[in-house]
Amino acid sequence: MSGLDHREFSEALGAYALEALPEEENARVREHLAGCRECRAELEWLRASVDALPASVPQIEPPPELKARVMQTVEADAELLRAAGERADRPERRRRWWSAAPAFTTPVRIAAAAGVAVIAVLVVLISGGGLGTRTIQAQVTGPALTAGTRASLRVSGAHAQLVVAGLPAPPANHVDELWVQRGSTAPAPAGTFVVRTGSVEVTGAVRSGDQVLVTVEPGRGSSAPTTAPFIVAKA
Amino acid sequence: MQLVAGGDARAFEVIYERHCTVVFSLAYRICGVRAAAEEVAQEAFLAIWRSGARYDRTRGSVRTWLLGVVHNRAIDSLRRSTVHDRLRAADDQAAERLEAPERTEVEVARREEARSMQAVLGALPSEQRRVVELAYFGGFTHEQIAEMLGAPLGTVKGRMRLALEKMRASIEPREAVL
Repeated sequence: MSGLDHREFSEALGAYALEALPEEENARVREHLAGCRECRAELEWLRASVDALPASVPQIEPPPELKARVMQTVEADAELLRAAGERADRPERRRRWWSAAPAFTTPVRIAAAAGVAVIAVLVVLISGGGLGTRTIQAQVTGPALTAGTRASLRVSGAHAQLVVAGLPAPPANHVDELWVQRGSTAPAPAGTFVVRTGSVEVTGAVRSGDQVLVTVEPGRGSSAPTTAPFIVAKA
Repeated sequence: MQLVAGGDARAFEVIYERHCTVVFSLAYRICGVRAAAEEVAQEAFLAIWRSGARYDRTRGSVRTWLLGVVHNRAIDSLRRSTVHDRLRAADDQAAERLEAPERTEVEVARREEARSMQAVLGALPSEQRRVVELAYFGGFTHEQIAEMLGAPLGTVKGRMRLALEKMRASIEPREAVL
């Protein structure tokens, strides 16, 4: 498509707006758009049609469980941010050497907050403070290890939270699932999750000596693990 | 969105309530399977929650931004599936009809908007409507569509452009916005 004139680029704008161009051709159109005000205006005009396409689909009510799952993660992230305090949530007021960096996004702040929270818990433990929260480093194996995933378990009484950072997404139509294994009994399901960096509540009681596992499971999760655990933490 | 970017879970819940039906509907229309649609919708909402700071109101509404994220994720999910699934996705007639009941004024308005947009699409010549559906709901490139339909590349591109022009003129005449 090299050497295209304006008319040919203009002709490709429909396919460009529909994201139907192969990457190479897409890049050439993008380059042309950067220097052609007429095509930019035309694209904006056409894009409104593409933006209206979702409205044409039959409207289907999502299941209530979807909101419950989404909000569970959102609440956990928000809690983590609150626990880390105001300073973790905002950039410094005074300009420092890092002030030229892009604005902190929520995942960065959540990761930072997770780090702050873990450090805070460690400080409490090292100093002999008495919050009763233990942080246990989890073993990570397989692709998650290659991806540099970090995981730990925060246990407070019979309540546990898995804190992860940089967890790779499971394959399509699969979810990550938590399990609690007591002694040599079969692992009991303890919730599915999609969080990649942040914390996840472990459903049900976790006692000292229990193992918290994470596996990849098909569909919405399984009643028994179908794959080997890639995160293991002993409470 | 400013509150969402600041980590306000209640503000995010408002966004969820306002857009969950259209988000799930688009994901379901593309994925064709409820479990996959739920996964895509969940991923999209959490992506919005975690990237709220990147939202730029000068580049469109929250709804447009959110639906763009859903569309990209649903097409990614679809591209990992078979050509048969993708053709099914592009074929509206095959989609299971489990429409939301009309309970509130907002839902009535949303249903009316859907009917109106379906009429706009339905008014297009079938060959133009087909290329738009294959590209948008099936995630096919214009080259794949040309091969499928046995039509020259230029013809497919032309049909896409003409279809979008006609839709745009039906939604809002050019004179009205210039």
